[in-house]
Amino acid sequence: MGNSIYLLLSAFVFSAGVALVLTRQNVIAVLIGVELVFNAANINFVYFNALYPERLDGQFFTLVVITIAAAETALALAIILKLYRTYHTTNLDEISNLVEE
Amino acid sequence: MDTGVIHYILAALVVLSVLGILVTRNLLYAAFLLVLTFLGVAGLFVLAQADFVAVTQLMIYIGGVLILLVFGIMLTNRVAGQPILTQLNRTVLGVLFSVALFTSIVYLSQGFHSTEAVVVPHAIQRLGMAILTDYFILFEIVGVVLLVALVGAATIARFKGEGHG
Amino acid sequence: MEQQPTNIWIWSAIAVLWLLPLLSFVIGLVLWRRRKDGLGKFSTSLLAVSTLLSWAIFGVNFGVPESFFSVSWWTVGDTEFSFSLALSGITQLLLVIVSTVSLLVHVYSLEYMKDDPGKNRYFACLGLFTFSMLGIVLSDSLLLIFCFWELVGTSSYFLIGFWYKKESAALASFKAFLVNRVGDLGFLIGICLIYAIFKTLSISELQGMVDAIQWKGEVFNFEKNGELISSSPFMFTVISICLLGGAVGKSAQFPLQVWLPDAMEGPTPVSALIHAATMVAAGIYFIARVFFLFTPPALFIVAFIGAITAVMGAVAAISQYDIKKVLAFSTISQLGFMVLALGVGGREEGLFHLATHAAFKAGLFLAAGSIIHALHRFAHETHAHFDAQDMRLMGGIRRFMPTTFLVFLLLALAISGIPMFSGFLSKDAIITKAFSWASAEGGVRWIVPMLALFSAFLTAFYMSRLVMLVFFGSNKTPLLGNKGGLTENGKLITIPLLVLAAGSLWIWFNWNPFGQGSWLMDLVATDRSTISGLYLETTNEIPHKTIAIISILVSLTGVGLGYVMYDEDEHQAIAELEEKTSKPGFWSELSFNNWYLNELYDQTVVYSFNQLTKASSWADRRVIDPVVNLTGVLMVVTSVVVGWFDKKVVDGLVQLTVRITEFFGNIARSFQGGAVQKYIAWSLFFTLLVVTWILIK
Repeated sequence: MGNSIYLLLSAFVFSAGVALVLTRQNVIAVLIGVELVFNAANINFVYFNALYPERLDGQFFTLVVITIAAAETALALAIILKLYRTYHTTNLDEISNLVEE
Repeated sequence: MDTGVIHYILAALVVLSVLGILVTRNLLYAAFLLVLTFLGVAGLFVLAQADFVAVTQLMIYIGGVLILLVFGIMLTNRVAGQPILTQLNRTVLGVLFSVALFTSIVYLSQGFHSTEAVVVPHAIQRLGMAILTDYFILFEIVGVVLLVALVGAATIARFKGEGHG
Repeated sequence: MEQQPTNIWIWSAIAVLWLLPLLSFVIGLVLWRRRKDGLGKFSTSLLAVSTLLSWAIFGVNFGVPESFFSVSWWTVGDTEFSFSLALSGITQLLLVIVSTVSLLVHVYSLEYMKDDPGKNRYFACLGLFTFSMLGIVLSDSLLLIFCFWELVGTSSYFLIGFWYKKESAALASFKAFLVNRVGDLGFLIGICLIYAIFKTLSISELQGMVDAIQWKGEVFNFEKNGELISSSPFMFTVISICLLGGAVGKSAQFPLQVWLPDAMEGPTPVSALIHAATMVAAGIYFIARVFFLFTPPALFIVAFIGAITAVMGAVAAISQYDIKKVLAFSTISQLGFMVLALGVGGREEGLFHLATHAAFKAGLFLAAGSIIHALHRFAHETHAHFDAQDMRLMGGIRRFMPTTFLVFLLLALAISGIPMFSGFLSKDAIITKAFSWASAEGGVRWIVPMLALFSAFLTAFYMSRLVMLVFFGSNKTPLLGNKGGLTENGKLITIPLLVLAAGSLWIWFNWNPFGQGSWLMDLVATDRSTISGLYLETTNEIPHKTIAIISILVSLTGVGLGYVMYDEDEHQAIAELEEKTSKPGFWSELSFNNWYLNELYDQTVVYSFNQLTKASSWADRRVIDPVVNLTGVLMVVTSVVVGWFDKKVVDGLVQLTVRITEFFGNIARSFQGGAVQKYIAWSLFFTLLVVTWILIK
C-alpha cells in the first residue's frame, strides 16, 4: 500500500464517523460520529505537521479545531436539550418537521 | 523499533474502540469507548511530536466534551435502570457510503510515504511563541468564538421563563 | 336668402313658451299617481304665460321675414345634424293657435276633470302634448319634426286611452297608434329619400335649393356645396306622396281616417284639443311647410284624397247618434277640405281654414263636452243610467243651458259656412280656389270642386240636424222631462266657450263679412318658389262673387233641409226614430257605419294579416320547430361526444401533466424533507460522485 498508518487511521475514523452520522437515529450518537470526524481531521493535521517539523501550522489548526469542537459540542447539546423539551424525543426521524404526513 | 510498535498498538486501540462504537447501540458504551479512542489519538499525537496538542486533546475532549456528552445522554433519557439504546436506520446505505468514502480517501492519499519524524526540540516553546505572535489574531478570534458559542449555548438551553427579565 | 340676424329676445321668449308645457309635464310625472289638487291650476298658469308670449311674438314679429335658430345637435362622421328652429308667419300663426286652444282647454279641464282621480296624469299628458305640438311647429329640421311628430302621437295615445280601464278606450288608443304608424312609415321613407337626394334635412336649406333650381329638360339640377345634384321629377312625386302618407295618417285622411272616430273615447277636452284643433292639423301644417316640394301629379293626388275624405266624412256624420262621433266625422270632413285646398294649390287658403276650423271645432267639442258634463252630473244626482252622448236622448236642451246653446249655435253656423262667420270666409276661399284650379285644366278635375260643394252642403245639413236634435224639440232624457234639474256649467267651462265663439266671428279675419280671403293668408304666404310653380299652368280666376253666392246658397239649403227634416214635434221624431231603427236604408247604413271602412279593413287588412300570422304560426310549428329540435338533438349528440373526448383525452392529458409534475415535485421534495441525515447522505453522495469524476479523469 505504501500509505502512512496515520492516513489510513484517519480515513478509517472519518468513515466510521460518517457511518455513525448516517445510521444512528439518536442525536447524541450522531454527535459522537461528528466528534470522530473531527478527530480524523486532527490526526491528519498533526501527521502532516510532523512531515514539516519546522512549521507549526498543523498543530495550531488542530488546536483551533479542538476549540471549535468544544464550542460545537456545547451548542449542539444545548440545541438537543431544547429539542428534547419541545418534542420529548431525541430521535431524529421523529423531529424532521418539514416532512408532511 | 519501539516507536513503530507503539504506533501500531495505539492505532489498533483506536480502530478497535471505533469499531466498538460502530457496533454497539448503547449510547453510554459508545461514550466510554470514545474515551479509549481519544486516548489512542492523543498517544499518536505524542508520537508525532505534538505533545501540547495531545495534552489539549486529553483535557478538552475527555475532560470537557465527553462529560458534556454524558450529561446530554443523562438529561435526554429518563428511563432509569435500562440500557439507553439508539435505533439504527439506513444501515446498508451508511456502511456502503462509508466504505466507498474510505476506499476513495485511501486511494487519493496514496504516495504519502511515512517518513520518520524528525525530532525538533523546543516544540512547545515555539508553539507558544507562534500563538502569541504569528497567529495572534486567529487565536483571539477563536477565543471570542468559543465565548460566544458558550453564551449562546447557555441562552438556548435555559429553561423557559427563566431570566427573561 | 334674406336671413334676419337672430333676435335674442324673440328666441328666448320662444324657448320659454316652448319649455313651460314641458315643465308642466315633468312636474306631472312626479305627481303622476297623486290625487292632490293643484297641478291643474299650476299647468294652466304656465300655459297662460306661454299663450301671452305667443301673442306677444305674433304682435312684435308681425310681417318680419323668416328667422332661424340652429345649434349642432349630433354628428355622424362628417355629417352634422342640427337642432334648427324656424320662425316665420306660418309658425307664429300656429304658435298662437296651439297655445291659445291649449290654454282654453286647460281652463275648461279644470272644471271638467275636477272629480277624476287621474287628473294629474291628465294635465301632465296635456303638457307633453302641447310641448311636442309646439316642437312640430317650431322645427326646421325634418328629423326634428319627425321626433315631435311621434311624441305627439304618443301623447295622443296616452290621452285617448286615458280611461285605460275601459276596454274600448284601450282598444281605440291602440288602433289610433297603429293606423298612425302606417302613415308614419311613408313619412320616414320620404325623409330618407330626401336625405339621399339632397343630403340635408333642413326645410330652409331645401327651400333654398328649390329657389335655385334649374330646369334642364327632364331633370332638375341643384347646387349643394358646389356639387351638382340631379333628380328626376318622378323622384319628387314619390317623395311628395311619401310625405303625404304621414299627413294622411296624422290628419285622418282617406284611407286612414278610421282611427279618429274611435279616438273619441278620450275625454272631451282632449278631443277638442288634439283630435279637432291641433294634432290632426299637424298633417296640414306639415304639408304646407314642405308644399314647395310637391309636384303637380302629387298635388293632384292630394286634391282627390282631400275631396274624397271631405265627402266621406260628411256623409258618415249625417246618421250618427253619438254627438261626439258626429263632430269627429265632421272633423275628418273639414280636414279633407284643408287637404283639398293644399291639393289645388291653395296653401294659404288651407292654412286659413286650419285657423278658423281650430277655433270653431274646438268650440264645438267643448260645447258638446259641456252638455255631456251636465248630463253626467244630472245622471249622478238622480241615479239614472243612460248614455250621455246619445243625441236621441237629448232635445230641448236650449232651455236648460242657454250659454252653451248660444255658443253651439254660433259655431254651427260658422262651420256651416254662413256669412258673418269665419267658416264662410275660409271655406269660400277654398271653393273659389278649387274652381279656379279645375277651370284652368278642366276634365276630371271638375270633380274636386263639385265634391267640395257637396260636402259643404252636407256639412250644413248634418250640423243643423245636430242642433235640432240636441237643442230643439222636446226633451227625451230619462227622468228629466221638461222640468228643471239640468243646469248650466260653471264659468270655467262657459268662458272658454264664449272665447271660442267670439273667435269664430268674421271680424277677426276680414272686415267685410262677404269678403275674399283674409289678412292671415298674406301672413302665411311666402314668395319662395315651389316645384309646382316651375310647371307652366294656365290660371283662370273665377270671379269670387259667383262662387260666394253659390256657396251661400248651398249652405243655406243644407241648413234649411236639416231644419225641415228634423224640426218635428215629439210624435214624429219618435216615429221617425223607430222607423230608422227598424228598417234602415242602404244609404243610412252606409253612412252610419262610416262606409263600412272598418269592416273592409277587418275583411282585408286584418283578415290577411291574421292569415299571415296563422301561416307563419304553422310554419313556426311545422318547419322551424322541427329544425330547432333537430338542431337541439344534434347539439346533445355532439356535446356527448365532446364530453367523452373531454373526459378521456383532454382530462387525461391534464392528468398526465399533473402526474409528471407531481413525480418530479416529489423527487425534488424528497431532498429536503427535513431529515437531517438524508441531507448529509445526499451531500456525501454527490461528493463521492465528484471524487469519482476526478478519479476517472
